[in-house]
Amino acid sequence: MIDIARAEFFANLYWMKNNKGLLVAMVLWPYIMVALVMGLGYIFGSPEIYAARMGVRNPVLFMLSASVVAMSSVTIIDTVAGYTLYNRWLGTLNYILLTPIRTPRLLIAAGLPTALFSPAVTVSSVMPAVLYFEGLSGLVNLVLIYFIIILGMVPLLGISVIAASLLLIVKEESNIINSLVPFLLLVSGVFYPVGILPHALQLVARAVPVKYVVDAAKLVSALSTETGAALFTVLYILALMGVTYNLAAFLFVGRVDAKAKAKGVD
Amino acid sequence: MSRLRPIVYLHLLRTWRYKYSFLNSTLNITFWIAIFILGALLFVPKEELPTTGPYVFWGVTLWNIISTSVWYIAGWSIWFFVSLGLVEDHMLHNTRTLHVLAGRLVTIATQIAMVTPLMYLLVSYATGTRFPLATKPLFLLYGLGTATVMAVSYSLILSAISLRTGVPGPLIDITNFLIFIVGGVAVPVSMLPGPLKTVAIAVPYSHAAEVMRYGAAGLEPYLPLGTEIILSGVIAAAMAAVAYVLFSYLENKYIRIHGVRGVGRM
Repeated sequence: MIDIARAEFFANLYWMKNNKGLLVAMVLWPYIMVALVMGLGYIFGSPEIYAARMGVRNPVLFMLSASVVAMSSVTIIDTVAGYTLYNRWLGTLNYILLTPIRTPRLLIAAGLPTALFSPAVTVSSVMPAVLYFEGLSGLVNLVLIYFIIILGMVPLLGISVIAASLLLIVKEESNIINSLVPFLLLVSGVFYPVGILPHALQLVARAVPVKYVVDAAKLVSALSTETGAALFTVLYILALMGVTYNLAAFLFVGRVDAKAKAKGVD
Repeated sequence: MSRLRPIVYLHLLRTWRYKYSFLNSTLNITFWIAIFILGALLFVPKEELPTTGPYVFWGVTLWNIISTSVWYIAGWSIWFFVSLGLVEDHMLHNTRTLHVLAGRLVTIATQIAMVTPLMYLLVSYATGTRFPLATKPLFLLYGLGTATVMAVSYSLILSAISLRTGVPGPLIDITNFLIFIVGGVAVPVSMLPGPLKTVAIAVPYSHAAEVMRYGAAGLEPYLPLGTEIILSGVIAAAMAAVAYVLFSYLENKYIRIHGVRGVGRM
């Protein structure tokens, strides 16, 4: 498993090195997301209204942190699901499934480097803006947010593995689950409070790790004794979700794997 | 007509063959737009939400036409048609690549027909009002028509370029977002801050968007209405002509001598 994670890490590294456009896009994406929402917001309304409704001091800073969370979530699910899909396109999926390592472990190992790498790139990309708005204290908060994102990536990895395994049994060789990422972000209230969503979606949000990462990011930006206690509750929920979703992934993928091996993959 | 029929059939069949992917794509677009719109509308004072609704809805619809055209024509040709070597195959069967790619309009129209009602529901929910779709339908249709011709032509130009050289995908996405914000697509040109008005006027889509907004909500365009109608028609025709001439040159002169992406030169 460690060997696969290491191989994936180097594959990621060289992919970035050889696709500089992708790296530039990764660095620019948080800014583009913020520019899009804030650009529209500034023209139609005012940031004060947004700050009051969201309960944040600095909307730009909050949105940058939120977009880092969003981008990291997008990348982790896309990478793990993309691993299955990419190997299916290459015709190597059959061989990979027949290797001695168990499929759930393989998929987790494939996603691990991205779970660390992607937040690191996006966090670094927003550092100049955070330093400009908040100075060194903002930078310390950003590092804290980075570690919370890493913790949030653990349950998300479990969800990604379940999603990736679905691609093993669906007879369509395209990414039919890429709407999962925006759905998770939609119910997590990345740029808005979850309270504005319909009640059913608010209930779904309670089971989505990204929501807690966003909550934690908000709490970090207003760190005090009270919010410190709330922060620990959020971290506890994330840890619990990490165990639950990864356990579910192991059980679910085991069955899907057996089915895929019995019937073969296209 | 006899050549058009198999192309339309091809794209209809392909859309049916990839039905899960197609549905997933519809949800994917809807969720992403929802994330940004719900965030942006939090900047708007509650009492102004009903008047903002039509601008946001038609801005998003126009952006969807631009973005879907780019990905379904240019993206499809770069990552599928060219990569699989289908250009040469179609040429040998006396079928023009231009016609096959323009036929993607079938898929684009189906996708837009599915996303647009969802967008209306979303914007209605977010603004808390059921706004009328059009006050002057003919102007709205004219704006939509010219915008579609511009979007398809732009996509065909990108496809034509991809036959000769690489086109960086992430940068296409970034350009789409920039056009949305500063190109007079998302917001009326008159509402943009000073220098951005000039930028918006230089973006072809802004003229079609201004006519659309006049037809949808009766908002007077930044330039006189007659000028906007002439400009959007002339620009749409010019872009279609450039796409046609560029494709004809590449198909008849460049590819026949050098091969796709100049492989024949090696």
